[in-house]
Amino acid sequence: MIDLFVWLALGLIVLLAGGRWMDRGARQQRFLRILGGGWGFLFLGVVLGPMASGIVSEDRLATAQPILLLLLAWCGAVVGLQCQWALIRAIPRPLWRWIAADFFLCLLGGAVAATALSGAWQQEPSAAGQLVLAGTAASIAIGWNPESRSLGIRSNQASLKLARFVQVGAGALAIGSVLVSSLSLQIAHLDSSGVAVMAPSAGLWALALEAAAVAAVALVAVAIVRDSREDDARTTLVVVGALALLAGVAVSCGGSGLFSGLLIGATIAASRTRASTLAAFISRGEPVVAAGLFLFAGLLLRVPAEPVVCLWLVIAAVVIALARDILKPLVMALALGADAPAQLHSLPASRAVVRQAPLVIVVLLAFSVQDRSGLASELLTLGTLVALGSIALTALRPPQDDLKDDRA
Amino acid sequence: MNTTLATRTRQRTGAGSILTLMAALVGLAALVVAARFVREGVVGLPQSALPAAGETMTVLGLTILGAWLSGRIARRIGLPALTGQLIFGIAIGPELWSVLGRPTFALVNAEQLAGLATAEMLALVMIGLVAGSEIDASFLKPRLRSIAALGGFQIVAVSISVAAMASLLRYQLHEAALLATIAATSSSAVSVALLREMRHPTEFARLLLATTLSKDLLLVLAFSIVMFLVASTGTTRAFAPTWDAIAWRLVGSIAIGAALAWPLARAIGCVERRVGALVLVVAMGFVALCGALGLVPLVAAVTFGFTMRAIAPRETASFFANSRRMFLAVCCVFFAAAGAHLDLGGLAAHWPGVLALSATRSVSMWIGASLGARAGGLSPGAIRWAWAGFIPQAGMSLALVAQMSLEFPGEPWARSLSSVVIACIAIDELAGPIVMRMALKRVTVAVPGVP
Repeated sequence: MIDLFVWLALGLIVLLAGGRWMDRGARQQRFLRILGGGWGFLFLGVVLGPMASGIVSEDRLATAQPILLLLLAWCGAVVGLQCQWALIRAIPRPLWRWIAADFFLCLLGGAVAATALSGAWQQEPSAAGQLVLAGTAASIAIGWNPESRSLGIRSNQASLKLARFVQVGAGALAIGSVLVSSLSLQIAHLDSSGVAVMAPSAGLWALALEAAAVAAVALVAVAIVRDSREDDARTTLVVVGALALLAGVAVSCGGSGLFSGLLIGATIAASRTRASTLAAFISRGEPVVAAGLFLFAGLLLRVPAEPVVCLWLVIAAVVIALARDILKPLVMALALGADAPAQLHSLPASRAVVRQAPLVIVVLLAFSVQDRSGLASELLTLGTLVALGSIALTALRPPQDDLKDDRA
Repeated sequence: MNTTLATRTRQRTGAGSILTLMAALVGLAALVVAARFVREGVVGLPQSALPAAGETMTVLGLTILGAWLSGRIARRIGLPALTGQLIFGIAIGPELWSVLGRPTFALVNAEQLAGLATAEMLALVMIGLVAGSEIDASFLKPRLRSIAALGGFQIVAVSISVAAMASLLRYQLHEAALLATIAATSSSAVSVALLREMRHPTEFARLLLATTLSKDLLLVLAFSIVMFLVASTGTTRAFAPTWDAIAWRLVGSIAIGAALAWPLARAIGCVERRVGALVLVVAMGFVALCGALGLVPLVAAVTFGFTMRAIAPRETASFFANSRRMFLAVCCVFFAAAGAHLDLGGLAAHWPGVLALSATRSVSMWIGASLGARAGGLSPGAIRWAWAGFIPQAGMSLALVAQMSLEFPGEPWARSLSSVVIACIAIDELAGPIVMRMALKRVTVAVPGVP
């Protein structure tokens, strides 16, 4: 049975996310603009969750777990919808360079971090443990926040070009981040006692079954779409039914639904026949899905009991945020090279790459579905701290008005 | 010759379409079986931290997509979609396979079905919301006499006849009274589902829905009173419910529905986007609130839908449009789950009594509804077919049976009576939509001269 308090929390989300005053507030307050809507729901989750007031206790949270799975699959589908052939073809060569540089450098960084940290995390470091850490660290590092309007974009050509690069690059790297985390967490995983286990063949079988499930569900969706007239009721039925089933099958395979969602989103994006209504419906749900996932992240967030571990988490978060502040603009400048817009570092959009991608919270939530050892909750705390740290670093430097440069 | 060719092509397309839909259905079932096989059979696979939630989502997805496909197949062969959905529920549920002696063949076992309880309640509330919004005051006002006559005559006819048949079958007086009250109920869920299936709902379809809803309200109160009398006569060991508890069930449900309609109509007016999510949240709120306060969710939701549409039709238009958008998925869950719950074992065990009671109900419904339709000044077609609209039974009847089991726990007669009543409901649930759809196809105008 649905708990009254869980319902109240969900009701609050929808009223807040759908209300007119929310938009008005976000437009008027610069801090809210930079912070973005989702973080408010994360704080709401923390306040309502077991860590603070305990209004939504562990037992109450358990009743809402199926909703979390549906939201993860939905979010995966939103990410997957970006795999449109026309969009991919339109990506210019310099942006491809930037995307590839960020992706592979983050993979490398993840591997280095995993090697350095696995000794501290496990008494007997294993390849499986390193793979889990490397995959998670890389998926946290990959990409950036696609939102750049809050940083003060003006309508000159250089600014708009960079803002477009930032948005498209973030979208492509979001796909990479989900793929890296899904692959690494299926090949190696943590058992209930926290011991890392390497099972490449079983993991690949599981991923193959998830892909087969997506193909089967896509065929069913095609049968439904062909057999009936197009209306909103049918679209709702197909999307909710398909995502629920795929999330369930993914959990049976040890996954979280994020990867299956990504595949079905990509399938819809690639199909040419009457799937545009499905894509539009999935995209329309994005704000509520994001709000719900941030709320769940707040509810699931755990601060470690030992003060020393807490201190290490804070130090790690500060170091990662500072590293982002230095390395991400550097990678951007090196990758774009001569194709970079004029006065690259003075453009406000260039600061967007410092902020961590909000998708990281979703990737870590997906990890928490797969993880029974408790590590995911601590990583979720770390990911949240890094995200907030990187937002703070961006907010500390006021955006430069590039319009002045134009006028000059 | 061209016409013949066209007909043949159409027929072939129809058959091909049925085959495609059936193949999709089989593919879905195979997918669920394969996922479970992989989970149990592949060594070294990571185990999720949320296996129960995953299973609930699998069953939910299977139910939504599978029930829709079955509904389409049913429509292709001339049956109502919800009959296909019920049959799908029976096919995947545990009851059929238990009767056949192969319980492991069920795609959805009893535990997994229990995981859908919240979704079922949610579906019931959403059906109530849509049902309430389908009827407005301007429709009700000129037809009050017809509704009163149609409902009143059939309640009297069915109650007396079923009670008499129950006495003949040697049921005790209190059992006969409970049986008669439940027999008088009809399914508002089926009424609203068939009404939504029509592209342009007729006046007759809306009149049947309005009468069923009015009957439901009255019978919830009547059932509570009968239970009070049964409990206080001393024939049972149950504690008698108090008068205020009886009044609270009906009056409280109506009051909560009406009271929430005022503030929520204002709040809904402020929400411009994501109204679909708001509909779900409101429905979940009703489930949670009614569960906490011991109210009847269907009654509260119907009242809420009706009141909100009456007080703020323009502001809530988008809310109800979104409710209708979700209605298809909601019906799939509700009717497939209802099919999975059907007590086929009880039907097999008590079939002579069940058939006698069911036949008595149908005949008395026909007599009562025909007399009521004549007294209410309905059109000749409506007089002939009105009975068919009240044969289906589903959610409300099952809820009353569940209430009876809850009020008289550990009473052997209550357990036995529950299986008989549920078996009777199973017959009406399967046959009812077919006859009701026939009636809806044949009659359009209910009350001649009323716009």
